[in-house]
Amino acid sequence: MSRITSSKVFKSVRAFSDRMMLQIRIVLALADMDFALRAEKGFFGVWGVLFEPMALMLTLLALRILVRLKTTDLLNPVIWLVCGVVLLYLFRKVGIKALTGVSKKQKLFFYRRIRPLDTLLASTLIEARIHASVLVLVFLAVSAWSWTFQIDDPALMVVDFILTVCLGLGVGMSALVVGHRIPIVKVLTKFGINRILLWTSGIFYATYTLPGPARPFVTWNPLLHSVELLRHSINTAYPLPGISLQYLAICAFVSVGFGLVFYFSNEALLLSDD
Amino acid sequence: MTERPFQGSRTTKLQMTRQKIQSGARWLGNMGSELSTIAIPRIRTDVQAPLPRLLSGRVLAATFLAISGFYCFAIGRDRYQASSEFVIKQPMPPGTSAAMVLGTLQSSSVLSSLEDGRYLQVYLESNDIKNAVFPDKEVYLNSYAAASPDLWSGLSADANAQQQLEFFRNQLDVIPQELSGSIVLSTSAFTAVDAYSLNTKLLEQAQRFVNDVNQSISADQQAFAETQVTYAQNRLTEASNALEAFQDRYGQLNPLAEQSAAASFITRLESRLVDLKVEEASLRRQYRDPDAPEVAYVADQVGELERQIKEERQKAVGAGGRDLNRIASQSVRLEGNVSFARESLVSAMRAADNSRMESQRQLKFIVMLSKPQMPQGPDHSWRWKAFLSCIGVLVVVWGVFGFMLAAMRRD
Repeated sequence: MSRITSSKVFKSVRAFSDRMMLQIRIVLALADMDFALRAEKGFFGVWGVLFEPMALMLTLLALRILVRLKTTDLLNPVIWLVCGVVLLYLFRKVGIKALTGVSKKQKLFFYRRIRPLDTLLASTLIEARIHASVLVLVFLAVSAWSWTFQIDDPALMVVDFILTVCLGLGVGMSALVVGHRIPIVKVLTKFGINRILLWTSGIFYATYTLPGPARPFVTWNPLLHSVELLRHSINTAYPLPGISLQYLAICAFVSVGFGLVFYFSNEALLLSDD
Repeated sequence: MTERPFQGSRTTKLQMTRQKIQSGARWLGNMGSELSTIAIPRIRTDVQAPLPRLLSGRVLAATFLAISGFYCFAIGRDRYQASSEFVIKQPMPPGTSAAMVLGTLQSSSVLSSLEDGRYLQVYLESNDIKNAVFPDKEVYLNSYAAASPDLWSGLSADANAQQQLEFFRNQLDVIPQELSGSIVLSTSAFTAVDAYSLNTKLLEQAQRFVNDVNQSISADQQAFAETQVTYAQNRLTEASNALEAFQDRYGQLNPLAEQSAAASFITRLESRLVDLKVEEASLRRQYRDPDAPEVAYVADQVGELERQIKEERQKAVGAGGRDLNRIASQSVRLEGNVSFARESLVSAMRAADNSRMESQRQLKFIVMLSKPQMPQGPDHSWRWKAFLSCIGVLVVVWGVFGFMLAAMRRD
């Protein structure tokens, strides 16, 4: 047996950190490229990437005014709504859109360094930045308008956002494989899961306004926990019946763990198929 | 693996890379082995960065994180937290408690407690309460004075009144619970005793607030009801006096009965007149001479009766007579006034009685669900929360503002 010396340990740590840095650079570079491609596609250029979710927000706000959706007096209605919209669309863009992600990025796999997971990580990064930007911009705008700045628990806000990104990433890794191998799932997702998510994620209602017996029908959805926790982090008086950070964390970690196992056991299939 | 083994120093590698990029190379390694074209802009940015590396974003971020971590976990002072939970209850009359159709409809006692809790929230964070809890300014400043090595947290000795109030507000959290209606009161301080003492004193103030509100509302209601009773009594007295004066003046006890009697008398006379006229007509048919004594006798009676009726009528309603109509209507009005004033008095007395009973029944009181406990150890959660918040700041700066800058640069 060879002896473990400090120089060997240092070298292996150095090699590991170099690889990690390279991996990070690859993901950042792919994110840059993704951002540039999106900016070219949109009508408003780079800013269109931000305007798209904001336009959706405005539509929902108009809907709220027209239909008079019930919100809560504990939070500003715009902030209340943006919390739901941002997290749901972040999850959808990261997790559900991964179903169609591999075929479009197939050319990149010419570089042996780039793997499907890298493209997913890059799009996750860019989506997280876009949606965080929307959240921050709307929050700052509303705070400036109402001249009150309130974030009771910023740490919870950060943890919640990161866990939601992890949740989307975990689901996205599984979706990458499933969407590639079983195309029918894309159709099912489009007509089924998206709608279920839309109505169970608490965008249009607060959990505590639901009757007690009806809550279990929506609290299975970890995204609802994420949305409600984000609202709670802004005002700690916002009640959270049946909502817990632990559930969200468990769902996020399980989905990431399962997604990684599922992805690495099927990575060869993703690369070999056209 | 496709990576080449680590060769040479980092400076040599960077120089080689820079030379390659400056000579217009589109690939930095073998095709398919390196992330060449995609990574070139990023590598070029790094290589040609004009600022010294000490001022790079990465170094600044690491420094910020290190400083915040050092503050949060090493030099930040311990904080102690005491919390209590209570509910403001009001006894409900039986039968009004719950006709709830859906589970979400909150009972009125929850809503009432929630409403009181919101008032209490504002009240406990007011300057009056700060002065009541800390009557001695020096004691307050000493209790929360900044101490080495953590000079950042705490109250500076020369803090003005506004800063003192702001600091006081930061030390307490009054959170009404939407679902249960209870109120959670949390206080924090740099020592366990201070946190516990602040919580206890604020609970006393809350109790006083509820009692004061109750007493003032009850006193207001009672005073209003008693004023109304006095007013109704005065009005009844005035109306009775006016009626008595009226009756004294006209010397009759009941003008209505008198009017009725006069009317009845005139009616009888008119009835008699009709009979005589019929008899006169019959006699005129019996006798050819209209001046016959029998006819003239009855005709005289008819004439006399008509004059008498006219005179009686004139006497009853005419201006020169007793004017029974006016007297009767005046009497009715005065009697109506007396009757109305009497009913007003009865209802005012009943309302005063109800008010007294309601004010006793609706007295609110504080029910302690969880009394404050002396903290057994410092609360470390703030350290993690503060550190995570610093990470959040970095994430927002990098994720959002970096993203916006990149967008502006591309645009």
